[in-house]
Amino acid sequence: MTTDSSATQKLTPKEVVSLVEKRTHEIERVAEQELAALTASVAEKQHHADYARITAIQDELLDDNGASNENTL
Amino acid sequence: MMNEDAPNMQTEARSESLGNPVEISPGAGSRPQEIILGTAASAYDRIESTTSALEQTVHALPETKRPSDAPKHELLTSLQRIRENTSDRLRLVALAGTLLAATPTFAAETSTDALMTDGNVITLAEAPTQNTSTMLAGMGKATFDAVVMERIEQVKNDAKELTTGKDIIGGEVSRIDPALRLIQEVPFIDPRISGVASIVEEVKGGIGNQGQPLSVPALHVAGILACAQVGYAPCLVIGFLTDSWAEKINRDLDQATDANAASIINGLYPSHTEKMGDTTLIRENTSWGTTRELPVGIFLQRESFAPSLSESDVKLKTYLELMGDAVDVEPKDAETVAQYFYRVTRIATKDVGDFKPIAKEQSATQQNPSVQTISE
Repeated sequence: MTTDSSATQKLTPKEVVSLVEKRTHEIERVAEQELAALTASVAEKQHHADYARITAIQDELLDDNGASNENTL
Repeated sequence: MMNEDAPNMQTEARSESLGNPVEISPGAGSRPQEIILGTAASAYDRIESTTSALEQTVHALPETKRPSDAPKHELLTSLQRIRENTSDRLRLVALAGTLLAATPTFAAETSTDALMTDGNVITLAEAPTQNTSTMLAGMGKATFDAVVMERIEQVKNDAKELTTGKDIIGGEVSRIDPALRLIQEVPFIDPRISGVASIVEEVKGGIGNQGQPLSVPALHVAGILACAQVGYAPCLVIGFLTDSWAEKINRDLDQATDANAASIINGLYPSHTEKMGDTTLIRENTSWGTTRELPVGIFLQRESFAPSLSESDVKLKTYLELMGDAVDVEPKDAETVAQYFYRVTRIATKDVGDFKPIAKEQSATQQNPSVQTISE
């Protein structure tokens, strides 16, 4: 076992709870940061997907217009 | 006695990714343990909620052909990694905190380490070659198996040494025999499954057939092997076994004369001068000594070679249930120890049943046919 004096201190239950809460929040914060980074990637991918979809619709509309014009002519 | 039906938690959280729904619970909990579990559960819930929502978004995304876009499977993999790492860390902090809150005097050494270590939940200061943080930070199944097998080899070697050379408890070397026999007989074909049945039978048979508990080394080894074989944290069993054994040691010492007390103590501390982190399991377990406090310390120390908790085979629910038991239950006799051990084994093999010590004339298989099934 460790002989580190800092590790052999006795903690009251209240201190333990506080320590756990602190560590829990740290863990949660790290996870949130990672999720935020991932969310950004997802958003970018979503943006690209939306853009591609819009472009496709525009192309389709243009094609339709072209066909319509041909019919008119 | 432990309460089989009432785990120590009363709140609910959910973990689809970890398999079964997780039942934790804040409850009215005013006890530190309940507050801690509630804190961990809430944090887990929040992360899980965000992760799940993001996961659904990713699933709904079409694949784009842009090379700069991360493929969906990569995003999903990253999500899963975050989810698992987070739950691992939360549960370990909860574990350490719960033990520490429940037993502030004796768990302080290792638990405080666990809580105060930055970056990783638990790091043993003197861990020799295996760094806990490495092991817990996403160790794959194959790596875990290799580590477990390495530890088993160490146990084997130690058992041989103890059997041939050491008189660890008042000259009763024979106490180690069942341990060695177990080690020799247990097949290691599938380190997660095979051998569990024979270990369970050994434990149950040791009580039912002989009217005596198995030797503690046998229980240690059985526990270690069983846990290793089913991918469970060995610490869960060892903590209890050593606790029971500590009582026996205390009794021995109470009755001892000065002369053989010294002998007993010397036997108990065969590696007294060695660094704990460099000693092997049995040596460590023979050195918890006369205190009832060390077992839980050992409990946490054993995390150093616990399976990678990121693997979903260790369910959060089970883990927390056992944690609750660890806090509340103090086995007073060998049967209780065996009951606990049995339960751990059954839980770990996903077949939880009531423990029924077998009668002298019954075999374990007759008593519970499903035991045999485990090894098949």
